[in-house]
Amino acid sequence: MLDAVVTATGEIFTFSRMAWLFGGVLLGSVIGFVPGIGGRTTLAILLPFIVKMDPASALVLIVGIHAIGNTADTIPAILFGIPGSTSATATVMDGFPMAKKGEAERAMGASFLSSGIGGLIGAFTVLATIPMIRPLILTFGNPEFFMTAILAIVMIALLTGGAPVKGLIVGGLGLLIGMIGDAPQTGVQRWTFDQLYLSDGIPLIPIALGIFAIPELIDMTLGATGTRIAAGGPITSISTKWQGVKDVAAHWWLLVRSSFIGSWIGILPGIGSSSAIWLAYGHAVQSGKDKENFGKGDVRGVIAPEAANNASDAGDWCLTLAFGIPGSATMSLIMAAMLLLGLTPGPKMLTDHLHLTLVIVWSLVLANLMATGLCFAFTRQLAGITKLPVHYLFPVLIVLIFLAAYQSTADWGDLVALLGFSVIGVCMKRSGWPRPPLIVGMVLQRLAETYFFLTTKLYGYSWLTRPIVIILFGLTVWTIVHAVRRHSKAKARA
Amino acid sequence: MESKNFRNAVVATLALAIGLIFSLRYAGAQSGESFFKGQTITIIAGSSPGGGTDSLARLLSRHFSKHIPGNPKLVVSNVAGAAGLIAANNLYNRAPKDGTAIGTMATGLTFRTALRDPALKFQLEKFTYLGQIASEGNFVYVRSETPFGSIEAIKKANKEGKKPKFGAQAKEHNSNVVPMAMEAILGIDVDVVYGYPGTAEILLDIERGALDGRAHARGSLFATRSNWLEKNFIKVLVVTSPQRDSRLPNVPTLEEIAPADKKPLLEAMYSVQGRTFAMPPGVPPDRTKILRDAFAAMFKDKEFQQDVDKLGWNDELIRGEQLNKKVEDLVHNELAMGFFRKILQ
Repeated sequence: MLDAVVTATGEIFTFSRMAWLFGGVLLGSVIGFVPGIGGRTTLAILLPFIVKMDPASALVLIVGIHAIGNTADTIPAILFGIPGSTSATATVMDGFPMAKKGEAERAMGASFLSSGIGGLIGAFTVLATIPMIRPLILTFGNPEFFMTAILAIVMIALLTGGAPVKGLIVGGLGLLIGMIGDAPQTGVQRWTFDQLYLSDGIPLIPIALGIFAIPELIDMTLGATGTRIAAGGPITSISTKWQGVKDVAAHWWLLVRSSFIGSWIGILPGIGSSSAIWLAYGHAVQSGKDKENFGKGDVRGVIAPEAANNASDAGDWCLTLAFGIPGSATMSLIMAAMLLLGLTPGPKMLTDHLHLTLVIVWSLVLANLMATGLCFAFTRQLAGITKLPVHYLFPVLIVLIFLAAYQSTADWGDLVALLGFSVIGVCMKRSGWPRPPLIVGMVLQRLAETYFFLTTKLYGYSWLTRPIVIILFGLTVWTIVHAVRRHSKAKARA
Repeated sequence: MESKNFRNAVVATLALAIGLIFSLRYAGAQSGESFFKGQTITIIAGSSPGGGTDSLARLLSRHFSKHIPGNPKLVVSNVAGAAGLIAANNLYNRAPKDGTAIGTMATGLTFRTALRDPALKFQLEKFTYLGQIASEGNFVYVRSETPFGSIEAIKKANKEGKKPKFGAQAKEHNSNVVPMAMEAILGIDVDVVYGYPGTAEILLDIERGALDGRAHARGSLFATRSNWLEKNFIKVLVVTSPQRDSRLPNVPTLEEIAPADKKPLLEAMYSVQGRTFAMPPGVPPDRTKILRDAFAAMFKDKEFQQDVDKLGWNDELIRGEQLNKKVEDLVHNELAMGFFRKILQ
């Protein structure tokens, strides 16, 4: 191991490798800012060039492009309430309300720093876990993955928004929408109405943009929030990025816990950052002393998911490298690139190619630092967007949203889905129904169904007696009890 | 005056006719080797970026152009959905038929043809096939510690009411079709648990002991779990290719152990293994020949072979002309099609 560490250190700290890393971070930050178009598109375009590079340089570039995505995608989430990717949906909950109060710079400062530190903690956690990662993953089986997905859905449904029952209903609706398409086990077409477009289900990006982006844009242009995004309050000293830094310092223990949540969840196959951010958010709500401001612009609601988001990235890498299981579509592409570089994800990456695995860990650390520095440097300029009249922003954003939706499958159905879910999103927002459970229900539906099917096929009823399943079930019940108690207290006070 | 006008008309007509003849000759020359110069050929990958199908398309995009006269540009277009069906429908019905569109052909399309899936908007045998890169075949293996270490052991266990549990991806994936076919051909009973998201998840469950084995593409097994063979963690029962694999010479082929009356079904199985490229029907024959020759030349390219080795694929070539004949024969082979329908329904 020590030899591999020394070799990896020697390989990463060269001028060319650092240049590749910074170039990847720069490129990824530009692309990550655009809603719906993420690192995956960038990687797909660059793949023919990447595979001609030497493996270490190629990996460094890939990590640079990928690592910044989880930092840059919070920029539209905070500024416009439009998550740059599904990993930023939790940040919208409190980040956008902060921007409306004139605290966009503070929110971004807290977000970038949390992302950077979360990424570092994630990378070191993974490094420390490498020797025991295989036994750990082998202990978690299909039943445990299923229960983790259920816990994530329940947590998000109950802890976002003030009405637990509404959250559960919306989460259930998300599960139903996720069922549209081919049944994973039988191939039977479910609710496709003979439309080939629906065979693989409705793509996530048009739905997410319709549910989140369009209602916010409509509110902006109809004047519900004034002529500027930051119409809810003056820009004061509390709204600077340095206040965001102080917030992170004040809530350092929350940040550390959230990072660990992200790291461990990121290691679980398929669960990934979509669940990690919400589990961290839910944990912040559950463990916070005064919870009333969550969802209305509480900086803790930015720190927790952002730390978990970047930390889960390291776990995702670990899963891909050690087991060849990509935790996301972007990781699938990265795996394809690795194969073409002559590297087969799996046990050999922890033995024969351990030094390249450590190059990746180093790259994650350095990319997080670079990404944080780069985003932090432009925080003030980015926050200035909230002071622009919305009639300047609207045309640009609406075009970007439509483009991002269309590039899902390049089918007219993407635009139909965008418009359809925009109507649903507007209705939900106006009626006070929480929207995040819909997305999370959709994202986790296939996983939950697949793991449940495999669990019952392989284990019968005996899976209910597995120790980790019992613990996760207990946590789920506790989450429900906690949410009901919180809601009852809030009703009693009102 | 009239004779002058008449003369002028005749000269004009002759000039027009000569001009047309020359322009047609020029157009004819365009349909040959000079056509591809300056063109962009789109490779339609029937999946989203990442994964085997996308890797296949990008492999072609990196190596194919230099073997085509005129060195056209190659771009990959991902058309995901329905396990390659949407891409195939697009290729057949919407893509240009002038040689500038190539598509990856998913194995499952053959099974869908057998099942007479109404979602198919094409006839499989009418595509213009470019060629097939690899005809892989599968190793079928079990964990060494299970009581299913040979076909006879499985039959004996079946009599005691026990079945090996195999993991598989989709119903139409080879990981399911091969064990189902073995059931029909060898008279064994297996329990295939399909619905796994991918190969890695199946391998994990084998390692956990939740599954007993699987059917695994030959190259992929060596690429991902060669250590299982070195440590004797698994026992390979059979290989589903016409010849034995030189890396495991002691493993018999399915052909060697299948009863004589079931051997015609093996040809059906071999036909659905491999990574295939095709163009829409109606591509001009001279351009088709140019591209097929280029495909065969690419196959001998050292750099291409190195990339194929990195992906763990076997490097066998079936030319497009042979493939068109094979697919035509397969689609009209009611024994084979009926066999697929039986094992997949």
